[in-house]
Amino acid sequence: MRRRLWLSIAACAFGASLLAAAGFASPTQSGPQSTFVGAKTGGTLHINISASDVDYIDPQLSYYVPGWALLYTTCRQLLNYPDRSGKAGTRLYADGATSLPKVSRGGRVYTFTLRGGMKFSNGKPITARNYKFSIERAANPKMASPAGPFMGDIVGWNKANKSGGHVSGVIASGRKLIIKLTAPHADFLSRAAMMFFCPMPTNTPIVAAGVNSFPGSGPYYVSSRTPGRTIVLKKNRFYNGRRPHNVNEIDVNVLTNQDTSLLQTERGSVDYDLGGHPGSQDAALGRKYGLNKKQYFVNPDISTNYFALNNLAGAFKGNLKARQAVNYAMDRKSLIATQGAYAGHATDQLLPPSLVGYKNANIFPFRSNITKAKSLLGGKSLNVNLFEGGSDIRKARAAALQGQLGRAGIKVNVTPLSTGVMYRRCGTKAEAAASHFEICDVGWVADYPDPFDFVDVLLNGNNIQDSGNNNYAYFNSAKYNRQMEAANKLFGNKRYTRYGNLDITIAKNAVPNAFWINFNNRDFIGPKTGCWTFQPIYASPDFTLLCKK
Amino acid sequence: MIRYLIRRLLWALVLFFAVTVVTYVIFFLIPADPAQRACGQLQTQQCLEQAHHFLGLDRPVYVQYGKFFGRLLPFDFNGLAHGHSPIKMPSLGISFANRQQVNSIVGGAAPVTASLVFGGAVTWLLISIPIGILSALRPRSLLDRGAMMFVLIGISAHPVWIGLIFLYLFAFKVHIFPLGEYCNMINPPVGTSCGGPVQWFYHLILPWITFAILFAALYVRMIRANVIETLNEDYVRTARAKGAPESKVMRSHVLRNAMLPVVTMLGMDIALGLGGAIFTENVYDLPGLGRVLRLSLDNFDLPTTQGIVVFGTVAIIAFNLIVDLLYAAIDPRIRLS
Amino acid sequence: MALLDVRDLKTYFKTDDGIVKAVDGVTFSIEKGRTLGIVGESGSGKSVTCLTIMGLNAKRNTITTGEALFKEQDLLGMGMRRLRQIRGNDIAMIFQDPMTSLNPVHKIGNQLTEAVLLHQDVTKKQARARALELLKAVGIPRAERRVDDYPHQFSGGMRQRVMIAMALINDPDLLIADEPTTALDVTIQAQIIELIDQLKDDFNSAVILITHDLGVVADVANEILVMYAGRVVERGPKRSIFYDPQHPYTWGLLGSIPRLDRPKGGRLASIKGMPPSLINLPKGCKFRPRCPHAFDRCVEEPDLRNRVEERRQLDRCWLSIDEKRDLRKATIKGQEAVA
Repeated sequence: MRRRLWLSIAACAFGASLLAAAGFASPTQSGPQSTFVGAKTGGTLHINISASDVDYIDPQLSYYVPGWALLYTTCRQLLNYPDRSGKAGTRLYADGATSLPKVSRGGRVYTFTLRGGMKFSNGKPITARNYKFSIERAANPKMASPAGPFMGDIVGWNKANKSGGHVSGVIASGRKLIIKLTAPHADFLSRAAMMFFCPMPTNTPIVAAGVNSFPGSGPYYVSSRTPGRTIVLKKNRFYNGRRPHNVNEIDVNVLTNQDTSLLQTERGSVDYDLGGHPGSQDAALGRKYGLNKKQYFVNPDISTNYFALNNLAGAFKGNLKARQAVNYAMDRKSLIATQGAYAGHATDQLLPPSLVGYKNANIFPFRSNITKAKSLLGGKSLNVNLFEGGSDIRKARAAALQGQLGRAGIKVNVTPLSTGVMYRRCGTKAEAAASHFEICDVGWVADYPDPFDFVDVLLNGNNIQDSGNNNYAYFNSAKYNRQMEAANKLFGNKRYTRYGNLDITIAKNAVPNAFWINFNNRDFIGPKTGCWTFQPIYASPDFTLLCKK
Repeated sequence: MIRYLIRRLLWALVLFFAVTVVTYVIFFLIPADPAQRACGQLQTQQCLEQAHHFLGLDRPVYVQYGKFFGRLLPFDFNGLAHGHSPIKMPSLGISFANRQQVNSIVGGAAPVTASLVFGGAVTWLLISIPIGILSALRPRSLLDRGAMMFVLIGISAHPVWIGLIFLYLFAFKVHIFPLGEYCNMINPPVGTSCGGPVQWFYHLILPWITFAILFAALYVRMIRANVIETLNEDYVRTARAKGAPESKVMRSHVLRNAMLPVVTMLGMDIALGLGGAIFTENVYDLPGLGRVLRLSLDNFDLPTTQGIVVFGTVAIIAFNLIVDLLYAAIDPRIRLS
Repeated sequence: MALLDVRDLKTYFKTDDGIVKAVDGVTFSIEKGRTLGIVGESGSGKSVTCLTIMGLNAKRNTITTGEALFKEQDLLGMGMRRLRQIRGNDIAMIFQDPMTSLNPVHKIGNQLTEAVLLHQDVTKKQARARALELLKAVGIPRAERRVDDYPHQFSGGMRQRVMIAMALINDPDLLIADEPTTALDVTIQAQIIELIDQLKDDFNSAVILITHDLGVVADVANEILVMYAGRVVERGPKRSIFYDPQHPYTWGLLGSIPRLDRPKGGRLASIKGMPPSLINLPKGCKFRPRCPHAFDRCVEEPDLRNRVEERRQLDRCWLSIDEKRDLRKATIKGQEAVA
């Protein structure tokens, strides 16, 4: 997923791997964390979302990570991510289902058995029909839902998306829910944990503006929302699952001012800001509160930022030495220093260390080696164009990069754009083919914890389309394409080892990009807030666990 | 008078057209596609096509403008054809970003901005009138020089800077005032921590002062100059020659005339203030039109942007008309013709 | 007994360039029912004299000495409250430009009733009736309708009538008119002067008429005061001033009046030169630099005293009476070029 918090998926998933069998540990290990020892229950959390509002709080429409961090507390998908931190928090477990589904017909049919006795927050029971209804609601053209890419491979979904009505590939029968796919896509289970699949009462209105409150299936439910002002979540009295719920109510204020919000958090009138705090404050916060102690937390994001090098046309096309020169001239540590205190860790590979499958290798130095860079270029100089986005920290790193590469004889011309426009233009094949840019400052966040989501999505040449590309390097090597597709057919540790090696091989031998940082999530909570747990999938604290002291 | 009003209204319509057409044109010149926002990162062709159609972006620009205008009129031609009432509520459309009715988005934000701007206007008058008059009565005194210093600072310092300093000093360091936030006078949204007239007032004190400082500074200068000038007028001498006490001279003769320009300036400055309110709203977390406008631009949300443009245009036109009528009412030399 | 008795009045203004001696020792008096004309060019101090008497000068940087006894009370030493009781009530003043002297945003009726209510304990209705009475007295046609009009709805002449009405509305003992016709055209001038004269009789007031134009006071004044550079240079009954003027400045003023008995084609005499700076006044006779007849004695300032048979006529010139007679004729008739 792009660093900009938009979700993406590998819709065109390849291969038939069963992620289910692969990375899952037994339910006891990957289930929800027991509540903290001595955690105080009750009270109200005050959360801000600075500088933005959620687009919708309707699960079939919501497409924005802070919204998902909230909906995570209200939804009981068949499979869910545990309320745990670290790698454990990235392993799916059975939440609405009794266990992992039975997979048949070569990976095309998934049969789930639902737990009994589940209830919505209005006391009504949750059955297989509710799960089916959600899928059909998302399909209904009146909703104009963005769920298409994530549900489109369910049999009959696309037809329902055009004309409404039932989705023939979803069958609700007693306590069983059967989902048929048009092709054996192994990542379906990860997709099924997305909010679009949140079970909903069958009388939920089907309107394009979505609902602003609905009965919840999780430990909490959305009690009300005033767009542009507030969202209120309340404890679900009828929840009988094993997920925790410490506070009684979560009051969210949206569109707050980041600076003011920080003052409020320090004072304690606000517990946490989903919109973050000003980057200039990190050094001071770290000094004052220490790292990962009581209030200030630094956790790795499952993401990598890199400078995509245009392999399709321009100075870097077919010029391995030039691309290597960029990697040697770049001073990763200096670049990171421009991003504020505790910004992240230097890297020279695509996979982030917090992702299963990552294997470390020392490919390029983290400090500049200008001599080596110059010699690779043979003393020649290059003129390249860098497309950069609009924020202050982006401008800071662009300027630093410009200086670093300049010393090796690579003259960088920075084209400042708004971040959205930058991504759009970098993703347009015609722009790359005309070499309007040689370098693009991009980032990628995991949609779900599998190396496929990085390697294939970003480097498989078969993905390249006319617009909306994520393969910003336009890297297309038949050899490596085959190797990626082969790796995608594997399961378990073999899969991860193969991907880990492939990552290193491509980074060392093909050098399609210049990777530089794995960003951290830097979070600050108020003095009255406790029970901090960082949920890596939603890149936020787990609100079911957060408590008031 | 009636003819004057009709002429003004016709001009207003022309102005309205011009402003909304220009907004549309600018929007469509921007190299960004609101449909992309709806399709997030993946942006499959199918999703983009659906979004374009849903948002109405697959029609030509003039058709979109025509639909926008039709929604805005209080006449329902469709309904007329089907035998329903021909009157409908004018609608500003539906937001591209979150599909809410723009009417309710603007309707929720407008009272906030109005609270800030009108309350701010009262505040700046309360500050500037006494200081301006006293400075004029005692030119070059300590009070006068102090007032001019205040004027200099007030004009030079940016409201955002002033606002952040105030927040830090008077809301964070010393807890006299609240740390930003807006409290609805009536019907506070569920989940906010305050509401009611007292809280509304209390939360607006710092924003009012922040917003008012720039205008107060300008008005002190203007009022001071006007009063000094008026004090030298012949009719003031006549009033004194009639034996009027100084208080009556000030009230009836000096201020009555010196304040006339303040009335027209007030009208123009409140209109200006609508724009400048964005900064104050941003610092103090006030959910007003400034915030909505900024977001709608970030999100390429044409209907909301257009909605605010419409609202702002109508408000400013109406306001200017009221000010002109008021001016004619208080200055007998002005006759509307 | 004199109604107003001004003795050695001096008004100095402190400025950045020096002390401006606007009025430098002025003495005169006026009795009930009489008209005094004060004549002089711009800067002679005629207006400042009357403003000082009324206490209407700015207080800062102003030095005032001397006495102005009104009904034996010194106006100059009086407290503000008492002075305000007198202003607009016992002594009234009208000014040069009636458009700027009336408040443009108040109806003239209100401005008139204001004058009444400041000094008389009557109801608003009674004050308004009085206002109407005065408007009719000054000759405003359709006064009942016009009383609710604004100043800009009146012509110049009408406005000045309103000013006069406002001044007389409380039956003042003394009316001071500071250049009341200067801003009006010639035909209206005569009307206004006639009106003032007539009302003086009707209301039994005294009038001080300030002007730079001797022709204006020719009809109505009883006594004339000629001022130059802040001083009185000649004073006396009207007949004497017109037919037996003793001061060369007065001759110059008289010579510059267009007259029917002057030979046609002859040029009007003018007084050469400019009035002196009131900061750096010349030594000796202040008129000496401009006087065509100055001689060696003039380096000593002449005193103001009676030098002729008419005991009420005073002048400030060293020339002998005979010399004056001879030189005067030439100046006034304009035959002798002014050297």
